[in-house]
Amino acid sequence: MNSIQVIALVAVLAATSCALAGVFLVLRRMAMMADAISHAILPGIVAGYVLARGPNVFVGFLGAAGAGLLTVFLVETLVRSRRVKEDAAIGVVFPALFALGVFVISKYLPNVHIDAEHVLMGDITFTPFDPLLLGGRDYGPQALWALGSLTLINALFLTLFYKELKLSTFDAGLAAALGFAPAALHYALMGVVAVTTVGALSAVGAILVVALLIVPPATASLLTRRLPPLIALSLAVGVAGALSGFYLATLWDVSISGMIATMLGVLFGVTFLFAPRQGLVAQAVRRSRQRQQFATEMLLVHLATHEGTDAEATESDPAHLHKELHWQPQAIRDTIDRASDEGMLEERGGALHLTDRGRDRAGEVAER
Amino acid sequence: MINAMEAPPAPNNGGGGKDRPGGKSGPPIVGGGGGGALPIAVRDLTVAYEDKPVLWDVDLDVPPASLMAIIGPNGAGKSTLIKAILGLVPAAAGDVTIFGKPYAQQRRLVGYVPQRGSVDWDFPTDVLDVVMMGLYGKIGWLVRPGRRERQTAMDCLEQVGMAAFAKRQISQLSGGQQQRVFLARALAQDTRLYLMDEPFAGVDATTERAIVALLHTLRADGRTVVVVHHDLQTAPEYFDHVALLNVRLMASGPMATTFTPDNLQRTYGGKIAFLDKSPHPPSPSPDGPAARVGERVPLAGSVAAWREVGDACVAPTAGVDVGATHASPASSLPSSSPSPAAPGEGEGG
Repeated sequence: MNSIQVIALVAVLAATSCALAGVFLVLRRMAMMADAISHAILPGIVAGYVLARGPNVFVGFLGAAGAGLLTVFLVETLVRSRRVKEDAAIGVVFPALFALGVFVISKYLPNVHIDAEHVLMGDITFTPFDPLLLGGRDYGPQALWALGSLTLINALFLTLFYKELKLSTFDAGLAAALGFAPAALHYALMGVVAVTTVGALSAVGAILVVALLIVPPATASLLTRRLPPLIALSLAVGVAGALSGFYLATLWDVSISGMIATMLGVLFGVTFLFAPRQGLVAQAVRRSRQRQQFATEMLLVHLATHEGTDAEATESDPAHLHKELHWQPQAIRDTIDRASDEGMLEERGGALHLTDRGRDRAGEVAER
Repeated sequence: MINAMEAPPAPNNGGGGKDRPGGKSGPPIVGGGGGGALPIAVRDLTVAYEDKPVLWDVDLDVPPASLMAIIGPNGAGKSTLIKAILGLVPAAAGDVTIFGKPYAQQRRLVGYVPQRGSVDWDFPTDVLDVVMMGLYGKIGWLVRPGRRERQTAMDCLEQVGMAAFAKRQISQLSGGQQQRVFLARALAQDTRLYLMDEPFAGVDATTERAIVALLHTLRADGRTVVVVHHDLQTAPEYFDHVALLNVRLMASGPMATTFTPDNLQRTYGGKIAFLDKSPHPPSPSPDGPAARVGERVPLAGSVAAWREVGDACVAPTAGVDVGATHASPASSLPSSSPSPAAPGEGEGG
């Protein structure tokens, strides 16, 4: 594998592991927790550094994951106290933990270099040159192993506990009553999110981790209201963002993480506008159609009301409609044309006459 | 208002099995398992949030094959009582047994219908899937539901008249339909005891009748149903037992002997308005209905309808005459109620 392929694969695996972990995070309306965890793991990394007396992948990983879970625990404790709302609790906890990490570094580890850009953007470009060394043997890029395992672990977690996650997310009360331990499941899910965040962070940086966790499920939920396709689409969006972002980043020679995050935003924006059913455009088209249909129905009911009465001649005069229904002449013209195209009415001698079909339709409309 | 329902219910062995959802060969509903133990026995139950007691030393026996309403003002701890029975909120003190054993050993015997508003109806799933969740307890960890479970869930949807909605997105349901889906899910649980948290809240008249019919079917089947209920007017008609709760248990027992003006007055304190439900339409004179509403306990044992007055229009201090706080009784009653001039109409559909 050349280094280009390694980087692309790292990006794809980061996308898949994060999308899998992010689906239930978004469904539980805890998207902000991803942001919190991605920042609050800093003191965990520092603690790992201190404990292992130097940079150690595994100890650092455990420390960071522990800090992620600590974040979740602190937020939940604050929320349970009923004195702080969840959004505020998240906002209180993660800057404090992040700042604690910064404090410890600057006070006790002055020689450790932690680069802000590195934390935010990651160093995916260098992942091919950071091999996993075990007993002096080179097993290939470390990031591939980490993100590959995370994808597998998360897929396994979702597959095994699919039913339990679904129930406890939709109805935690019933889940608890049936003995499915929703609190334990919640922490398991948060653990998965924390570990995924830590694993992906060093490769792709904090911003991209949050984007990869949140944007694919958020985009997918604009496209489907069923859970299995939602998971599949989340994976698809994540991978599409990773590959297109990587391609454009090499094309334009810009930050790979930044470009992937940008492409995820673009994918979301495009979906938001053009999703077949829930997109803005589809909604506007649907509303406009409904308005037109309602105008037609109003016209039919109006004609039916006065049919056979003395006022029929005046009431069915298109010019009169302008005064009566307060419609603009163009709107009247369009509605009449549409109604006669649909065979609902005929225009004879300057007056509108309902067809049988139009009369039936007016009757149906008046019924509902 | 006296009808057959108010007579103490005889446990019905003969009807066992009819209308049982799924038609599975489970243990017999009546008389099995717990021997003669009560469906629910609550002893000295106290639940507190921080240092504020929500339930205070509650003792409650729920007899077999009864339909019991839990009634009390807002904040009386009705939902908390149900959740404490199910172990969903920790008890500060006391003891709950379900058919003689702690709940954790009897999960399979208890069906739960939470408040409709307590779940996320935007969750991406369909009606059939929600009903199948009622079967998860039997299926157990890690195993996925299969074709048999789908069929059972369909049968349960059929029973609540929602079979045509099986594939419907749950976000597209009306309030009444949501409640029916919840009941179908409870039927899928197929348990001897049901706990339901406000199943009548915000449903249309048709659904309300359907739920009542369903409750009666469950009872005829020998099952026990405990329902948090808000409408004092319909309580004596729908249920045969009642527990009156206001942090403490004020009274519990058969409807006929427990649902008395005296007990209601103790439960609601100053927070209740009594409406005289006269069999004859009241005279159209403007002071007719207005004079009656707000009287304190004008009746003892006579046919009467009660309505709980929403907290918003109740003076915070106890003992204030309710009538005094209601210059315009008709407008201060809950919005669903008709004007006092037509008290018998109930919730219009």
